Formats: sequence, structure tokens, C-alpha cells
Amino acid sequence: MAAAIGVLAAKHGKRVLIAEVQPNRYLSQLFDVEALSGTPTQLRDNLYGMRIEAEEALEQYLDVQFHMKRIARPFVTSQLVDYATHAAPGLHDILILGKVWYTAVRQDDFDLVILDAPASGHAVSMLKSPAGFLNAVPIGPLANHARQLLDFLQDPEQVSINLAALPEETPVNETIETTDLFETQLSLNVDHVFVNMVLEPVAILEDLKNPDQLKSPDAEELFRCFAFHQARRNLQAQHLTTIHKSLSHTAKIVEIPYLFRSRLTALDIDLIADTLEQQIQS
Amino acid sequence: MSIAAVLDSKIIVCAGSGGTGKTTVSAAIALRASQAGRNTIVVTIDPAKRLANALGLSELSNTPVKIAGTTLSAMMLDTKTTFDALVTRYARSPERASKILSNRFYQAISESLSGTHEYMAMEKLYELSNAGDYDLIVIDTPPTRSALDFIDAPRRMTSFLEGRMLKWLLLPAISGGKGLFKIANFAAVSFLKVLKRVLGSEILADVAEFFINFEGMYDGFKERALQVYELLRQPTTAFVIVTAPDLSSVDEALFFADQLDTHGLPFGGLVVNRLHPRFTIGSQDLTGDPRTDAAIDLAGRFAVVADAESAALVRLRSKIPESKWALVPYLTSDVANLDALGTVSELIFDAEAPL
Repeated sequence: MAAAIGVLAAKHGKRVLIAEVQPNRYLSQLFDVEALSGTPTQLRDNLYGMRIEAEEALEQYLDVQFHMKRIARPFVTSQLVDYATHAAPGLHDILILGKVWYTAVRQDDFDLVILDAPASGHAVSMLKSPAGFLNAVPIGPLANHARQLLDFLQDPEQVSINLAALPEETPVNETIETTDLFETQLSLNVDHVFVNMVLEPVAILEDLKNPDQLKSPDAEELFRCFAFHQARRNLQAQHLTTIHKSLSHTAKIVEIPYLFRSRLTALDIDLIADTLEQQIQS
Repeated sequence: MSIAAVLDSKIIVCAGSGGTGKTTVSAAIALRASQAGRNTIVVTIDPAKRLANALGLSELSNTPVKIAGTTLSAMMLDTKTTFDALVTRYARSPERASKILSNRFYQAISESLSGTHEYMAMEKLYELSNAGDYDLIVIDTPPTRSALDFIDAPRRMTSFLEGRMLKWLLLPAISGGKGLFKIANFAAVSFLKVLKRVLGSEILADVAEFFINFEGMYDGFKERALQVYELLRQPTTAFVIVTAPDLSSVDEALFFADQLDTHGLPFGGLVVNRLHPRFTIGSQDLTGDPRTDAAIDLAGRFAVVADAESAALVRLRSKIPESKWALVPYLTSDVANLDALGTVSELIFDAEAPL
């Protein structure tokens, strides 16, 4: 989803950076470029990718805020960083968010910075990290920065929060819970919920009732396939109803069709970006 | 030996990446064992609502609930309560315990410290195993970013709590900057300076208080972690890896199987969940009848997915013998009651090897 949003924004002439935090190298494989690093790599016209790592962000933070480069280096490269990031609750996540803020606001090289955040449980704790940190450490220099970060996150003019889900029971429940947690605990409003891999109806088959209606020696098997498709769609429909009921008053829900691919390519991302464009404008 | 052999274990650990239906598989395995007359408990982490209902669980609780009319019990692990109980058990005095429990630093790490969930799942396992109330304990593991996290977590957590290096570095703060400060070396002093400037001295005081009160408890924690590790290495334990049939999940599952091997942990079997059905269509040629052609096109799309899944299984086959697999098809309904869960058990243990 992050890639599709990026492609869409870039298409509209914005200079876009997608920041990934997971070590799975998904973005670089998708756009067929070298593994991403801490400096932006061009993926396409107007579209860049970067990988944020807490260690590197800490080093940069100490350098920029405290002019501590000389001390920072051995400090960061040693195993101590492990302790330091654990010793301050959520520091790891704050560092990543801090780097996003720094890139988006301070450096201001891009019109849009997209953070491809970790999966929902971890995403909540990531976005909670500045507030959680302030609870544990109400004063001090880092606390001030955490407060700044929290203000930034809570400003809908600057930050838009979007969730991606699948039309299945657990992801739908998690998405509803996550939206609720964002609102109640963090005063963060979710703008869009993207429900991915939704099976689309095949219009001409809607009134298919039995294999005899198909003119093929494989009619039985074709019907079985159609019935499977229908059954999966019915199940998805239940979960889509749940998510619409629970969230349509607070977020725009966008359904992305299932593409039946063995793996997605950059071309598929263009397709998804087109779907996004149509649905977001409607 | 087929995957059904895991049913004779004393402990089954279900592991794998998130989103593979691991919790459902854990419950289905436990149900089958209980049907064979074994007194079984399944410890889940975060079940979907319907599954929780099917198991008769309404909320997070550290108390096992027995499902009426069966020899199956279930519980949802409450990490924080388990951690608190451990602190209470190992603290040198009740005063120290309550000091730790009310320490802000403890409160923050007891929920967020990486490895806590994994450690507490193992802790619960150990407790249940020692109590000896059950013939079989099936434990669902938290979704980990990498499978390795799970095996490694207890060790990482205890080494953090032991915090030898951190204690040494914080010594000047703990001892109030006198005496020992002089012998702390340059690295320690500059580390502390950095921490103080970045964090402020408030948090340092909390951290220091936490480690002072935690003193003497590391041994208990560490001992416990070692015993759990030994328990996991017993031949009566079986690890079941749950995976989705795509290449990246399969790679992760294989990597995990390798890790089990390296650590001498017993591999029991592998469940490939959510396999798309394969439809055998003789000819893909269009017929000119729009409806038939649309159906052929749909079958063609599903074939692409089934082919990709087959390719993933080929990779699996090169590493793990098929006799150790169970292939579970994509279900067309959610597991909402014990009967539906029973169907999943049948798919895992009774299905003819397809493909």
C-alpha cells in the first residue's frame, strides 16, 4: 500500500520518499533496485526509497542535537546501544519516528514522506512511543523532543494515518482495535483504511446456479471453482460489513481488488495506484 | 513417522510468522489430542474472537478454562500478570517486590521489552508442566518478526535483566558519584554523560532504582530460563511450524526448521495452512459462450495462485520430508465453534496427502 500511495502521489508531481523500517527489502525488490540504505535511493521519477534503522538514527540524532559525533560513534557501534534503547522505553521507535520527522520537516527535501510502519500491534506501540516516553520521562532534553514529535503526529495538517487490512477476521478486528486505540489513547484520527485482496464479483457469473449452464466438458470443475470464489467472497463480505459498520463514520474505507498474482510487480502497484485514485476521488 | 506422532508429546510448541492461522492450528491440535482422551490444555496468545468463543474464552486470563464435556482446557496468556507474579516470587522481600512493581521503568519494560511476551509464554509453559495437571500442553507463540526471536528471546531478556554491563556503567549513578566513580573507566563515564544529556537524570534514577531492587533476582530468572530451555529440548517436546504456502513464508519456515536443528530442539512437523484448491481444467480454450469463458478465465486466475503455491511446496519438499507435512486448504468459513475446529483437526491429521 505504501508503494501504491507513493506511486500515486509521484504521478501527481509530488516529490515522494517511502521509508521502510522492516528488514524484508520488499520495496527494493518491487522496484528492482539495490537494497535501500539510510540515504534516499531513486525508485522512479519523483519517487525515492530509504531504509531507517534505529542505530543510524541515534547516531544522527546525537550528532545533530548534541554535536556528539565523536562520542556518538563508539557509543552507537558498541553493544551498548542495545541497552540504551531498552533502558529508555520505546526509544527505538522514537528514533525511527524522529528520523521521519527530521526528514519530512527539517530537511524538507520531499513533498511527502510515507512511513511503511510495522504490523498493527507494533505500529500502535510505535506511535504511542512518544506519549509513553513522556509518561516515563516527563522532563529532560529527550522528553522535549518527544513532545515535539507528539505534536507533529497529532497535527492532521502534517500527518495522515492510514491502515491496511485484509478482509479476514483477525486483521479486521485488529484494524478496528487499532483505529480505536489511536483515537482514544493518542487522539490520532485514521484517514483511510485500505482493505487489500478483495475478491471482485464476476458480473456475468452472478446468476450461475448449476454446472449445466456452462458449455464445456469441464463444466463440473469450472462450477466448483466458481463456487469456491463465491464462498470466499461471501466470507469476505461478512468481514467487509464489519469493518464498514465499525469504521465508516471515522475513516474512508477503500477496497483494493485481489489481483491473483504469484507475486506483485511494479506494474501491479501502478494498477493499485489507479484503483486508489478512482476510489479516493469518489 | 507422520505429523500425527506429535499427538503423543507432552509439549507441543506451535511457531511461525504472523497471519498464518497459527492460533487456530494450535487449538485444532489440542482438540484432537483431547479427543484421543488426553487431558490437554492450549495456551493462546491473542485468538480471534470467534476462536476464543469456540474455546469458551471471553477475556484474557491466567486461569485455564475447561471446555464442558471435553478433556480440553484453554487459556489466554496475560503477559503483564505473569511477569508481576515472577517478580513477586523471586524478589528478596515483599518490600522489594512492591518497589519493583511500582517502578516506572519496570512498568514500561514489563510491557514493551522485546522478548517479554516470548519469555512469559515459556514461563507459563514451565509452570503448567511442573504442576503436572495436564498430559499435553499446546502452546501458541507470539507472532515474531523473525522466527529466531522466539528461541532467542528468553536468553536476551535475562541477559538484559542481568544487565552486568549496564550496572557497571551505571555504577557511578547508583553509588551517588562517590568512591567507585573514581575507578569507573573513561568509557563508563562518557557513556553516562551521554545518557544524562540525552535522557536527563530523572530516568537514570528510575533505572538505577530498578536495578538495585532487581539485584539478586537475576539468578532466579536465569535459572528458570535454562530450565525452560532444557524442557524444550526433551524428546517429549515437539515443535510444529505453521506456514502459509507462499515463497517468503516457506523460506522463513525453512530457516526456522534450521534454527531448531542448530539448537537441538525437536522438530515435530509442519502445517502448510490456507492452500488454494487446484481445479483441473482440460482446455483453457475459449468457447465463445461468454459465461463459460468468464468461468474459464476465473479458473485460470486461480491456477496462477495454485501454481505459485506449488512452487513454494517444491522448495519445502527439498528440505522437509512430506511425511512431516500437513496441508490444510483455504477454508470457506471461519472457525466459530468446536465442530468447525474439529474439521481443521481432520484436515491436519486425517487428510490423504494431496498433490
